[in-house]
Amino acid sequence: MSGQKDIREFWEDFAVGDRIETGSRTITETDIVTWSGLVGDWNPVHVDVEHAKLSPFGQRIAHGNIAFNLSVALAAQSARGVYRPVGYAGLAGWEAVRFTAPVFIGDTIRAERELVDMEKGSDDCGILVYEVRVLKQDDELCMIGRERMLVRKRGIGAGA
Amino acid sequence: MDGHRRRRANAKSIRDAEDEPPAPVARAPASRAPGRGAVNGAASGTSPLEKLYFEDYAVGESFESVGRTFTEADLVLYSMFTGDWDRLLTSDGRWKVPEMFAYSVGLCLLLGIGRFVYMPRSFIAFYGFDHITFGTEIGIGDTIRSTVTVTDLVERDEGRGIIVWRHETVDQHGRQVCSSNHRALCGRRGEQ
Repeated sequence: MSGQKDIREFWEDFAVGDRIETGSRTITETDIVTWSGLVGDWNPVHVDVEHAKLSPFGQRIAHGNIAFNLSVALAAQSARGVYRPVGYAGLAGWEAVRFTAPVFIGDTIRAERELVDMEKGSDDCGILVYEVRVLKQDDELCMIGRERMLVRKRGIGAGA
Repeated sequence: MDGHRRRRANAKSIRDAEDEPPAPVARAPASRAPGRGAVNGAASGTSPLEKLYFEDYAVGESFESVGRTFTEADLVLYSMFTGDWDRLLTSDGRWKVPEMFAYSVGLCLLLGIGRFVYMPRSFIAFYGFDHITFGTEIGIGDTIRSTVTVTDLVERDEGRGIIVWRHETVDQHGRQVCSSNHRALCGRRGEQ
């Protein structure tokens, strides 16, 4: 893989405006219960039907962190070469993460990313700043945030 | 502490001694043996820390969770759940806990401090995370625990207020694994 165009290996290979779109996934009851067990969040709004009936939504809602984690995982699945390039060095953090609408059992979500900023960072690693949007089947926005990713630089920083 | 218990066990039967609460604290089930968090922090899950309203918090108030060790099962289950099977490694060659997973677990450890402690009973809505940082990488076998501190209390209107928190998750060496600033809208105590 030594092509020039459309191959993203190191920080320099990216450009503001780059987009990543993912496949979609339907959130099931199983997802909610599995996630509760995995992280230990058994809040009744997620797992108690009777409690949820009395809530403003009238039904169980998925944990916000499911959409948050899947926004990353869906990108890794759908666009691995771009989202986890050769120079991928981990996530640095997130800014302004907001959960803007509840995700219900049966909703189908997908994530979109747009590269909105490239910070020079250190000699070794630069930072890619992606604006991430998680959308439901009817295009309703359910999560938005800015992801900061560390990607190694070509040359001395590549360590090769 | 163990020796103390043993001595008492000589006077009574072992079962009696174990059933006797050490202090006015309610007896914890055997599965809730005191861990690091219970020893270090005020929150063992049995003390009357439950919060109802915005007014029940003070700036600077802090809570500490118990610890949790990441196992291989955790990482396999996380990969199964997300479908993300990229196995990244720590610098010493162990399977790295994905930042997002460490963060999610670190945050949920705060819920284990007790029901309606970190979030009050009158919780209305979670705004989201204003600022999240990922620090030291961790792998299988590492243990995290979390603390959360109230950094600001903002009165929004007569009935509602915003609690602002700073959360920090550290590993067994005290190195910061992740942190966040986040806010929640909560109910206020009525006049009455």
